[in-house]
Amino acid sequence: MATASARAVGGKKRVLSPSAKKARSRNLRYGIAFIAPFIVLYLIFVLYPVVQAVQMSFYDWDLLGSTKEFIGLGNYERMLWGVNIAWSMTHMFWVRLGLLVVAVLLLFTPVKSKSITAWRVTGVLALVALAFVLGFHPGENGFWNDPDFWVSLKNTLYFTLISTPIIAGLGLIMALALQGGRRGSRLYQMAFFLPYILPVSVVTLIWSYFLSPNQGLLARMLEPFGVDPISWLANPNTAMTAIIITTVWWTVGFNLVLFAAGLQDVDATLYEAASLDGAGRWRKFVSVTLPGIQHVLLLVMVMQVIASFQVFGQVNIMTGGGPGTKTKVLIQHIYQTGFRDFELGYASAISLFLFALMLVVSVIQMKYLGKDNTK
Amino acid sequence: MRKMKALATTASLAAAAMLLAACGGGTSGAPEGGSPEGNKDLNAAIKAVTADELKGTTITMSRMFGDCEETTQGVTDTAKATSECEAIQILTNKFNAENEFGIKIERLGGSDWNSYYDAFNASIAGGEPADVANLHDYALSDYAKRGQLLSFNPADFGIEMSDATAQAQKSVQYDGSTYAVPFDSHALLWHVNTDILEQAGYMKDGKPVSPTSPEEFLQMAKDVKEKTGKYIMSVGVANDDMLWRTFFTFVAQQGGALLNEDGSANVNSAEAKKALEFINQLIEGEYIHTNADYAGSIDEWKNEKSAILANGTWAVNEYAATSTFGYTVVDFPTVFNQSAAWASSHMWVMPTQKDNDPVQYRAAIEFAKYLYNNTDTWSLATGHFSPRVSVINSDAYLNAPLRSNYTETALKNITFVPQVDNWTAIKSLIHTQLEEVWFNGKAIDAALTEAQSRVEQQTK
Amino acid sequence: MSTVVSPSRVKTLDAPSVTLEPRRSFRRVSGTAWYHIAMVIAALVWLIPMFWMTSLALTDNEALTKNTTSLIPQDFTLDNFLGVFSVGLTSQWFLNSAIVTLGTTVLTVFLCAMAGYAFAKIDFRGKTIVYASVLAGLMIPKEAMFIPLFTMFADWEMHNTYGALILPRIAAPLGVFLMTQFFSKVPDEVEEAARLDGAGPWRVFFSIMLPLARPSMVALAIFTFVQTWNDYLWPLVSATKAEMFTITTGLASLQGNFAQATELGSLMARGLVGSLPLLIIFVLFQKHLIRGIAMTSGDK
Repeated sequence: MATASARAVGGKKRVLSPSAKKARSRNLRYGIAFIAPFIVLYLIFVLYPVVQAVQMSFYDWDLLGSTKEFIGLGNYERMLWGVNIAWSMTHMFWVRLGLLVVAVLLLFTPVKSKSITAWRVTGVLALVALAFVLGFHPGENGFWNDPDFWVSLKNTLYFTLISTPIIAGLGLIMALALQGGRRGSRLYQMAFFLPYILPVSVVTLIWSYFLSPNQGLLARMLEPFGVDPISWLANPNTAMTAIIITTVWWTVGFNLVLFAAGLQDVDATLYEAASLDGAGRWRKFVSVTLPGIQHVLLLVMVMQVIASFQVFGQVNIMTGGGPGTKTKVLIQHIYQTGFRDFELGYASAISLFLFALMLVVSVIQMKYLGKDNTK
Repeated sequence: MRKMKALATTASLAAAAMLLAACGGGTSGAPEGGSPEGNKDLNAAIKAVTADELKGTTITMSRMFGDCEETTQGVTDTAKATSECEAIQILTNKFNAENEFGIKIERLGGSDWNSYYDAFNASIAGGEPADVANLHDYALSDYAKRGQLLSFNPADFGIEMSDATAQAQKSVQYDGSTYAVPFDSHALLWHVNTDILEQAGYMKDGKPVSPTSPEEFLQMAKDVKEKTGKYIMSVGVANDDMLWRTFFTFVAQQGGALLNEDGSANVNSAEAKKALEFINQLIEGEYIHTNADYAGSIDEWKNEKSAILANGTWAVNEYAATSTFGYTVVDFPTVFNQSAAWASSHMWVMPTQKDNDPVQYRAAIEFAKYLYNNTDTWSLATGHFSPRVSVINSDAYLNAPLRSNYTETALKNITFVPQVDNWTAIKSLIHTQLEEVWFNGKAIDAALTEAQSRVEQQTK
Repeated sequence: MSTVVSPSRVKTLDAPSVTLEPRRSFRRVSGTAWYHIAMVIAALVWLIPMFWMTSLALTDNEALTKNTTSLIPQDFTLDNFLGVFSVGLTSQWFLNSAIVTLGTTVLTVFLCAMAGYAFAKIDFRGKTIVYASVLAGLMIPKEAMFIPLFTMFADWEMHNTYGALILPRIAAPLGVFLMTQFFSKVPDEVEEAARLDGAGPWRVFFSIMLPLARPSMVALAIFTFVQTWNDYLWPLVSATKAEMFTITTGLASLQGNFAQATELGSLMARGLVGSLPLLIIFVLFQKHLIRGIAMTSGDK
């Protein structure tokens, strides 16, 4: 009884009876007791490291030395700037033009309806800013302070952009093939899902050898088709492809499961209605299935992007970032900067850059998923 | 409204975490053993450790050379070693079984040389480095200057440093103190499939005919390709240093160097340009290719798709024992006007420990000394050069199979990488630009110019 | 992030939801047969790398120096599997992984359930704010912040301990989010009935709420288990002694020596054994695992 009233009080009413006051402090006590173990660990191991990273990023912080020198924004300058950096209109022209076009398109509806949301303003401004920033490039005899940072950023984005649609698409196709709960579909789902549970080092163990030109099964399997053995991981043109193939094989099952769950939520009567209208398979897929699993599709994309930004294990074990820097990714750059080159301060700065990048993705995710939620 | 609230919360939490940060303090610095003042007493204490105190001490070791426990478990007969890994593992087993103090060695981790340093650094920074570890000559300064290695007087412990070659004696020093015990030196060689060279007409009196100029090298490559259809040379390029070492060798063979005497950058030189142009000619003629890593280059050569493998001294015994075709080894050919071949060396160091326990240090030094006293075993089992004059001049060494084929390298050609501060970083800057040339077709001049500016920036 | 998982999305997957269009039975039979043939082939192709690995693990190492490209073991032997536990540190790594994974899983599930219960069922001042800040933690990339974590554990001289491997992984905002979602769906009446019997929050939590939440907890547990068993970057930097490696980093360290990997069969056997607990969990709890994934889809 007391609890019920306490709840009501805690909710809205502002005038407190003595008993309610007591219940309130009791609730506070219990609330704290229940969340304390989690919150303490959360503060120490999740939030505090971010603060610590910010602090470290302002220092020349040696991994093995006792010297820590405050260098202000030095690490950021090293990361983002270079020698003889110039700005020109034409550098990466088409990409930047594309960004500006998107920004203009985003303004289209607001101009028509004469109202604009804060979100959209931010988005448009961000796109314009990005289009401006991308104009910077090393001028004559100039170079970036840390070209590996840009290379690994580029590789990370490339990996993300290529692997995400493949993984999402293949997952969806598999889920569609298994749709309908036929006999045995559960077994097939298990088969496709199986690789996902393997530890990363087992996946790399399998694939490093599977792809090997001399010992690998793949070269042998392709032999009858007249394909010469390819040294996938050592060839600069194929190394990233090999990493992506490995990743797809490893993780697609996870997305298959998500899609399968999503497909079950699609209202069956919609299919029937579509059938009555004489819709073919493709038509049904486009007008019933796709809208029905929109939220899962988005979710898969976002999860995949977040996971891809943090790709590390398969690259570190299979190629070590090579050949050259062809497969070097951001987390690996952080790892090497910190643990091979001793520079923890600079490594922290790159970590924070990655954090910021992912924050942007998360914000977009929140925005879209939030929208989906209110639907 | 809710959003505002959440923002406010995040801010206040961040503030709280800041407070925590302020209390947290800094990370650990270097242990006292690294500082010169504390060192004298410590050295005396280490020297004073008695055999009794050493009884039953267990120390940890971290090393490269890989894992091979399956084939070496319980083996103490060094004659059974067929590879670098087996040789060091069997030597360790032997020490465990035979040392008079009953010291036991435990291995800390396993890795190849590529990822070895990452793990080694993490172990130091984590506060628990191994008691004894191996390093390359060029990496010594990185740790010595940070006070992470124990300096000691070899004579105190009966380590006959005077028997070491001049280069070896120099290589274990930093700033006038000794930080390591030498173990070997190793250089780039040509591992030859004599069957293929025979077919190509490049064998005379049972020995490979080495080119003596770039033109001869190209002609030989062409002949090998036309007569046998094979590559002249397999070389590790992806995630491997073999082509970099070849470049280093070619520069040195022209009397060039990548750093001047004073340590300043000399990357953008005529010699470097010529070396790169020559390597490009080999690549463009499809006499060598850049699509192999270390393992891939070995596989290719072992599967008889190439005549020669560019690899180091460390593989001589292994290939002699396992090759399924006619095998021999020769000096890396001198194609420019001076003899030179890339070289480096391995050594053993004692990382400083937090507790500075003299007994542990002493046990580690005893093990390092044992390894130094067994460099003959190591070099005979692998193909490395011993750092000890007495070994190099011994009959057993001189009569060992194939060694006479590369005495030139041992005596004359051997050209060590510069032992300067941050060589790893400098090398990486240059190597990156070379990879731009090999993988992305960057113009040689542009690559060398950029490498020059970058190294200048680094050495400034 | 604020997506609420609808209960329907979490339902089991084998319930038929789309009615098949009526077709004549023989066409249907042959259609079904073709479907199964196609799916069986696809599944087999998908798993070829794993079959191959198994075949290598069952082949004598000596035979593998000559031929590695057979899907059927050429020179059948079980020695590789026997060697996994008698030679090298694999069994130690296995034990480490088991301890770390079980420790992380149990603590994560328990602490997240407690916090989730409080966030869902106890009204206390500042709850919304604290909950929001926990959800904000979802945006912190787990992999990117290992540098400050590393220095923190170095200061505490705690590297190469189980604590270092377990502690940073327990406070999973995702877990709290899931458990809060679950508890908020439990009708208040359940709790009130217990309260009337004089039970305090602790008793309500332990004797009523925890049993109720079992399905969600199992899902979260399995998810955490898989994540922890497969964790690579943090154990890589924190556990530098071979005897403290987990199976994931240990197996990775063995792959450093491709050139020297003359014991290919034994390497593959180690890989298979290293995946075994996950395979078992997968077979036993397949339904829960998949359910767990469907549930986590509420976030990321």
